[in-house]
Amino acid sequence: MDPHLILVIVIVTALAFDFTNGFHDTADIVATSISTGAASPKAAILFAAVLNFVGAFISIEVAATIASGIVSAEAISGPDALNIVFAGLMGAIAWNLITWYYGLPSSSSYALIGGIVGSALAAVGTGAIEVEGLVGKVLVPGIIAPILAFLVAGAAISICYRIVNNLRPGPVNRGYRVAQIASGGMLALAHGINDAQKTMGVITLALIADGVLDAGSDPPFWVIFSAATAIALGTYSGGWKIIKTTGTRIIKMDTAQGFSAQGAGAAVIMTSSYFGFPLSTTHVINGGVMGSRIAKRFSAVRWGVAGNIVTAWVLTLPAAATIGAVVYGVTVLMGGGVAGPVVISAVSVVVIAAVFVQRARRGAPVEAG
Amino acid sequence: MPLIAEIVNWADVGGSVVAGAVAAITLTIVVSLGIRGMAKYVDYGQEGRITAAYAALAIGGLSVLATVVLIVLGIYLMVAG
Repeated sequence: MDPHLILVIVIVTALAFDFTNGFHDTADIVATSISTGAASPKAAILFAAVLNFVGAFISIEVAATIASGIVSAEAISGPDALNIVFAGLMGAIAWNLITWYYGLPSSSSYALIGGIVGSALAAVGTGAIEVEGLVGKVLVPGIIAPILAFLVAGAAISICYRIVNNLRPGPVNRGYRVAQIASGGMLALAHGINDAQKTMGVITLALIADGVLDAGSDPPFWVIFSAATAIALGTYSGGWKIIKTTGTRIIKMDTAQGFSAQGAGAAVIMTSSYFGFPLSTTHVINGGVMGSRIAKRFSAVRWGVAGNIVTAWVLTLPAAATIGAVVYGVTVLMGGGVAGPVVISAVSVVVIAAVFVQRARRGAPVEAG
Repeated sequence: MPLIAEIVNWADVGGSVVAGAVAAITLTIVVSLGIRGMAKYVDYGQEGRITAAYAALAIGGLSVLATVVLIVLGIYLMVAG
């Protein structure tokens, strides 16, 4: 078999992961705009998909962090390198599938990072891990960002209410509804900037591992374009699912709250992306939504969502890392060549199809936020 | 094992925190002033207070302009890297 077949499998798997990322996150991006009536579902979803696509071209800092800041591209180079990247991706996909099936809270971004870290640890040991990058660019910013979005959205909604105090609600609501089109667009753009880059980073890491690119290289244009297309198509497809299941994750809030939540989320994600921090955009957006509800009353905040974020944090990284390590072990047991990824991919497609069929018969999984 | 405090680039983390907070709050103030200006323009206009209405319109218009400038500047900074 062609040795580049593993590279093709890794790229296809990464793009499939990117598609599911967009599919899964559409609800978080457009729910606020739809719930306040700032945009119709169709318009919000199309707008989000287009801006997700555009956002992917704006920056490559996060891609650089994924490609070289978490695991050492030099340490995992060699004949086994693509199996390590493949095992990491499978760890992320498997954990996403498990959490989706059982309704457990999760984060696609941390599943991806956890999977890659786990497979690299199993293959090379601790020498493959860039501890500074993992702690300084993933763990610490990942904890701070949702809290920051919460605080900033809380401050923003208080400022909004102070400035428009004593005005007639009609013009104020219309004004914030228009402002929400801009803040919703910025949020979709920010999502494209941060999330599409994670896939670009993984594909770039695979290209470096396969010797196609030199260590430290930026993602080529075709990688950026394909990652942008995959996340935009995922966002668009996910949107149609939302229209069909009206009410999913839709929260009651006024237009000022919607604007504050989206503005805070977009600002935090964009500035973090500028510094190359790969965040869980879902956690940041949820942090913004929670913060925007605190101005009215403390009990209006959905504290259960915060619990889900913490649970996702505690579970996702080690679980995806463990699965990534196990998948890597299986590829080794199968000879360490092309056979492992081919067989595992084929088995995975069958398992995923079976899970979806079973879920369709039993009804939709529990939404865990 | 190095301490977390030693391996985290706190300048970058702090920079992202400050930049995110400042960007969001600035945008909120500017947009809200714009909405206030536009709402007041309508109210003053209905009351026949033409000078006050145009002053409110000017505040609203400048705020909308500032909002556009802030968004374009933010995207430019991201692209410039």
